[in-house]
Amino acid sequence: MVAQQNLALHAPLTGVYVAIANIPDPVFAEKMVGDGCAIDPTSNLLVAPFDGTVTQLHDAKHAVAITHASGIEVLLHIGLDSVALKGQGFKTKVALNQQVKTGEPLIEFDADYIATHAQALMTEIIITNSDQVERFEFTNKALVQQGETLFSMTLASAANTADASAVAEHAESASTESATVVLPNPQGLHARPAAVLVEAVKKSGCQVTLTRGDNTAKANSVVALMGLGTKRADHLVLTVTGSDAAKHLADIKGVIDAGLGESFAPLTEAELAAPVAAPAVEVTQETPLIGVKEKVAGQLAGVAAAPGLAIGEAFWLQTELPEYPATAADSAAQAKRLKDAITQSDRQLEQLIADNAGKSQAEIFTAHRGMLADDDLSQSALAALQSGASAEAAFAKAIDAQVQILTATNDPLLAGRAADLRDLEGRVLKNLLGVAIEVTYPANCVVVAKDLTPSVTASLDTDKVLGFVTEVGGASSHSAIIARALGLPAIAGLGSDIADIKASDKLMIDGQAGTVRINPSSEQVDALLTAKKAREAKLAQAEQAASEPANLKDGRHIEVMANIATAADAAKGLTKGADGSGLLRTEFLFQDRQTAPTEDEQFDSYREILAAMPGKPIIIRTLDVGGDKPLSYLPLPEEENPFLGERGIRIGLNRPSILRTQVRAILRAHAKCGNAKIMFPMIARVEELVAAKAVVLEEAQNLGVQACDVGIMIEVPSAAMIADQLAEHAEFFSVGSNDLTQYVLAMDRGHPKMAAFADGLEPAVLRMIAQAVKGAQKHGRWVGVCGGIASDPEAVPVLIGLGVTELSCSVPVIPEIRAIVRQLDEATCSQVANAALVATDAKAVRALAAKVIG
Amino acid sequence: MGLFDKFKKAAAEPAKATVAPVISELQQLFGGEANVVDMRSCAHSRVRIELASPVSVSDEQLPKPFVAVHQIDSNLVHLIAQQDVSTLGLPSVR
Repeated sequence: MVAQQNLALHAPLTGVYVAIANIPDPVFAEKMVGDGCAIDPTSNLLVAPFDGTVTQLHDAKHAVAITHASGIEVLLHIGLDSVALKGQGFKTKVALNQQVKTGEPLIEFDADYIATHAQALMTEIIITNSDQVERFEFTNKALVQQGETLFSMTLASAANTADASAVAEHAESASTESATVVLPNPQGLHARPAAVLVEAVKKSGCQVTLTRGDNTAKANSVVALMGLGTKRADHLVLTVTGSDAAKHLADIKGVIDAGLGESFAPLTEAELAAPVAAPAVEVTQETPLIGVKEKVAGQLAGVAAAPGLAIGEAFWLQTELPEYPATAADSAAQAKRLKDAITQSDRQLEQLIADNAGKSQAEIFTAHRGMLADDDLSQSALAALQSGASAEAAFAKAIDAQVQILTATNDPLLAGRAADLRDLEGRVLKNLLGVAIEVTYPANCVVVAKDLTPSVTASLDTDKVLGFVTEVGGASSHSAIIARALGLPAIAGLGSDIADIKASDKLMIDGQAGTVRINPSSEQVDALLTAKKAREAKLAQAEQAASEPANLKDGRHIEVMANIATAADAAKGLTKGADGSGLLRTEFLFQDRQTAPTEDEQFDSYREILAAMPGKPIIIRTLDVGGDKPLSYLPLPEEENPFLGERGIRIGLNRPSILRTQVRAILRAHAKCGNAKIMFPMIARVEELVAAKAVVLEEAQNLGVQACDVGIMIEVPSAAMIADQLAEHAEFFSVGSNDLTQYVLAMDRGHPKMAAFADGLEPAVLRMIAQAVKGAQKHGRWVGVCGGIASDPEAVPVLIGLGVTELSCSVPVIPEIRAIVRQLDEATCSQVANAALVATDAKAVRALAAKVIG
Repeated sequence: MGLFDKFKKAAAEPAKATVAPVISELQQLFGGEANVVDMRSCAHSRVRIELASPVSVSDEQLPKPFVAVHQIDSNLVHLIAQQDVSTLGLPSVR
């Protein structure tokens, strides 16, 4: 006897329980999608009702399906007719194929927007394969709380569910027919038309699929049909297999042509015409007119991935795998091969962990072992094996799916972990194909490769390998981390130039500068060694003198401060000689939590940080987030261009309670410690500053404490242009050079092609800073810089020459910046600044500055 | 004014919707006419109320068929009924 399985579904929302028959849409009420219920929500975050995998995430973000390990699939559909909102009002919190735990956020929604723009807000919770449920037991409460059991299910035993034999029986007299259909539905196959199609398919008793491009869905599943992501006028291939297939094909096509229960505008001739494939575009690699890296004969430039200097012979490492068959006839044998290869890989990893005990490599291999044991990976591989894939292809496909999830997050750190999955893929495939994993390296070599996986990097024989260079990768990849741990210099991202390196070339690599010199002369080797020694000595000297005042030769003091986020940063800043902090970022207090920090919580944090730099000024910037980095408890609508949207002080002005709470906490901390200043980010207009400053004055009065100095970030061009007006109200300015640069130059600093030009030393940016200084001086205000250029040695004489009196830098470079200040004088800085303002570009400015800082 | 003129005048005036008594109850609950800035039906089962100043009302205080208060922000609430509220005579948001 087979034991029956029970499964509880937990309420994904708080709200009013609605029995399925009372849902005001017959598609749901008549259980055409499946059995379940709805909740009219009083909360606005849809969470997972059980552990499972996200198997469907609609493009319009209003619906998500989760599949439990038992195979039970629940469709969570927010609102009725909400597909027409085209994603407006919804924010997804998960990616397709992601594993979720009960209670994990899925979709956040703007309840008022949806309630006022859709037919209903009630959210349907439907088991789409309810034929696999023998009995449902629903809650009897009128109001349900998120997380409590909404209904429990007794799952049907396998014998009771329709099995493959039924299809086989049916298939005896089966034939297959297919036809192209043009979808007339305005919003494609969303829940309602999909349910009507499923009904028609079920009536036919045939196996029916619908294909859009490369994707095919079984037409007996609403969720699978929604997953096709169809749109009006899509040309779809309808395939029917069964007895009398031609008749059923015609019937089902008729139902689709009739709009699947929805009204629609007739398809136009253009829509009905078969889509013409776009002509293949031949992509030719053109040399850009600007921005081409100057090639120094015999030298390649890449990303500095791990510091150090090495001279050795180039050793090209081949990392390509031999070809393997995509399919195999015997899935059982393939499954065994894969299992053996996984076991073998696991043992290798176990050995590597033991060999590298206590080192960072061991942690990485431990993570690899965890990935190898992941259920999702094995289930995905198993599914591919069952559909006829070879062991190699099945594992590669399973890895591909996981890599897609990671890269879809758009989180560079997670995307970087995709390299670990590829590493794991290489290990398992090599074991499957019998390819040796160990490599024999020649003595005194520099490894050259397209990319190095963490496994290969960690297994480099450091007695023979002196460093490595790669075509792709960056400074934050695992191979770079391992290289730093191994003390191996490394350069990544050489691009196609890497082909210039021939086997046995002599390579001189400078992991700090990110350069590779091919076959250097002995003079070049000597020169590099000498320069490095000199720089190391200079930095050591700067560290020793860190606590000495940062005064120009002719006496004027320049405040060299620390950019900080925590009390630990503040303490570290002090050890590096910081005169205080020119930027305390407060975002960390607000992130990674479900509710906003209270005034007391903030007060405690600010007081701790202020106390860590006793007697030294700390400029506290108010919350600087936006649509690009929303907080979970602060729903911000997705914006087409978040950098021009609601961010910085705009959030505080639109939600004064957040600003008031933070200001009160800062004022209270200032009253205790006496060394805080408040700085508002993203001020663009006088009215904004006046309103924000009024909050400070009002709250100081409410608290009965002294108001502290109030300043603003100069990071929007308009603020620089009206600096004289803003200076009437602000006690100081601090230039946020990163944002100012991207707004002045209209260049996204993260854009792969633009980033190299988005230099804060471009004369246009410097003119903005000069304008800000002029405006500030009119009212006797001071100007600092807390953006990236404050940490840039070449910017120091230029900024001081422009009239900047405070530089707030990243902590490690403080001693170096202080040392540079001490070697400069007023007149030299003025000359450099005046020349910089009329220079043609940042490169010319840097050349001017380099001359005076040595 | 003759009877015919009265008919014509009545026809020219916009028809006044008959508002269900429960709506008046809700209005009182949320501070009366002075505090209820706007009240409309939406989303099949909801009444959307914009308030001049916040009022705290619990689910238990709601008259039938309303069963839950959905606080959108301090001055905006949705009241959820277990039925279609479009028949209560309120103007609709859509």
